[in-house]
Amino acid sequence: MSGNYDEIVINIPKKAEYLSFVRLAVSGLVSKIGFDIDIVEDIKVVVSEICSRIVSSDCVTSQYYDVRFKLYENGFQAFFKVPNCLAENLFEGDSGEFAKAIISSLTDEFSIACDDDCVITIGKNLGDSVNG
Amino acid sequence: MFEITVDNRSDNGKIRIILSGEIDIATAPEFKNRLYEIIGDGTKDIELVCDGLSYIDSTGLGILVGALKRVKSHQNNVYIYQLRENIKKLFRITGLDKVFILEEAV
Repeated sequence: MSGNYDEIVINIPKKAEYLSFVRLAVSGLVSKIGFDIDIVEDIKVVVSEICSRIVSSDCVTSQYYDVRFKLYENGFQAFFKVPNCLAENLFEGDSGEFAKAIISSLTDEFSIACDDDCVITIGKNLGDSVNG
Repeated sequence: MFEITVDNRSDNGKIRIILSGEIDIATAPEFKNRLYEIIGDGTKDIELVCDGLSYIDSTGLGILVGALKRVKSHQNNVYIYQLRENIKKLFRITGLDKVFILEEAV
């Protein structure tokens, strides 16, 4: 991904009932770039998986969390800033293993970089997936 | 929102459950309670009819695995019917398509 991008930041209450809103919002955003419907579905699933981990974690003490989206002409990235303790426990248990497999498989970019906090980055290139 | 109902018309000795809607972390606790209540100790085979299921996340998949373990302990199985393609994809990615018995037609 390269070139100019539009950046959108959403600040979401750390409550499970807002995950359906996140899925709806991210679907709208990435549809705008031109991803086909199957890739939109994949991105929606991945973003929701990460938000689920944040919402269900005791590590995130704030009542809200931010998701930062970058919309390029040729792709999409999302950034989730989380505490170290969440990054360490992100993929524990059966459902954690499933989440890791899903996120890794459905994205072109997936990384966790830690300093004081950790940033989970996901990305998807437009590639051949063009709607219409 | 999701719905879970038992189809009592089935007389094949298995428990047939109809799932629809979205199963995510918001609905997972209720889904788990209802599913485990229906399957009990796992003494019968389970049929999950999922043509109305539009979304399930890793939490929901984990609950299904828990249900499978429960019925497997009594040498029974979980049959999953009519998964939508987007959800079938998640089963393939996680390897669960090899763990559950996936069928097209009920």
